[in-house]
Amino acid sequence: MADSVSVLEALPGVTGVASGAAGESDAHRLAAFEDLLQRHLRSIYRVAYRLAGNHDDAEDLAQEALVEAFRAFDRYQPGTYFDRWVYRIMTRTHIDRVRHRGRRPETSLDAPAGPSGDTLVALIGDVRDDPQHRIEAADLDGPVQAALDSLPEEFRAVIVLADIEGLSYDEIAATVGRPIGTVRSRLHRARDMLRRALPHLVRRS
Amino acid sequence: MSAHVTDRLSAYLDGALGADELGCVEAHLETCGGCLRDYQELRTLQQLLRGLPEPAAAEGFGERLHWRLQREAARPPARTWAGWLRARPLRLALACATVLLILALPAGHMMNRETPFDADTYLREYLILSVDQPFDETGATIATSVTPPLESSRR
Repeated sequence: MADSVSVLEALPGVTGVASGAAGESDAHRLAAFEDLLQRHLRSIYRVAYRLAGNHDDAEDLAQEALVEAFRAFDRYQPGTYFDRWVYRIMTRTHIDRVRHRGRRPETSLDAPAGPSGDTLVALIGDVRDDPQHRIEAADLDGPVQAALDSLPEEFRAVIVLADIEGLSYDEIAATVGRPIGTVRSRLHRARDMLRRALPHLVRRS
Repeated sequence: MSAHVTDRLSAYLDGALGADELGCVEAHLETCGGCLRDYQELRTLQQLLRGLPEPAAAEGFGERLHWRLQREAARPPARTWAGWLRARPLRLALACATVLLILALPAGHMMNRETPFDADTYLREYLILSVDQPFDETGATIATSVTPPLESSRR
């Protein structure tokens, strides 16, 4: 948590931009953009991380989406949700990137998850064996993220926006550019897939 | 027992069901242990996702991002045709006038036609019109070559 706070503080103000009329208007644009960004960078990075699945790809994705957003900043309507506007750009960027570099190898949710041949279930099997064992949120991150990673991109985007960011169906529909009915059915299927992938975490004894 | 409600549990969890469906699902959950267990699992899954730790970006992420944005801000804007025309209103006006002229001249001439319009007739009419313009030699040459079929079609 401390690190993510430092990320916010680390976004410097606009200084040293070229002087002159054009430079000044660019500087103002950048300052206005970064002002909004300061307030939303944490949630933007969180979505990038949950979509991309690891920090390297999350940083690339966040940067690419934010540069794209900055280019289109004239089309952002002040007063509307900046973070949701960026999510829209980011989910599209993410899906384009994945399609562009070719799908990652399709892995079944029931198939072995790691190089050691451990299944997702086996990785977290000790939870059931030792009911007294208290699971820290950090311990869950790996298996849950692995299960998220195994979902098709459009399903992952929907469940990240709904269950991690808490967006409504309307907002998700606007973000992913799909009708509400599609969002509802994708969310249903995504949750069902995750539930089956993480039986020992969701099942109560 | 009523039909299972598995496919509506996700929307039920989000409070996204209409009154009818809501009543139906609630009534079913009171009698069906299987659906109730599915619902509890979905709810636990949602709590699990909401409770995931905040991912911390690598050190220096903010600086790298700022640097990229700054570089982007310093770049000259991409030149597009639309931008080029907007920057020169006179050229935009001339371009519009030319397009209008090209479209309007043959169209006006064809208003009196009895035969239906098609791409070929349009072209012929246009070329014939060009013959009327003494300074356009190219049009005259081409128009002459396509005139006979037009005459026959008018008959």
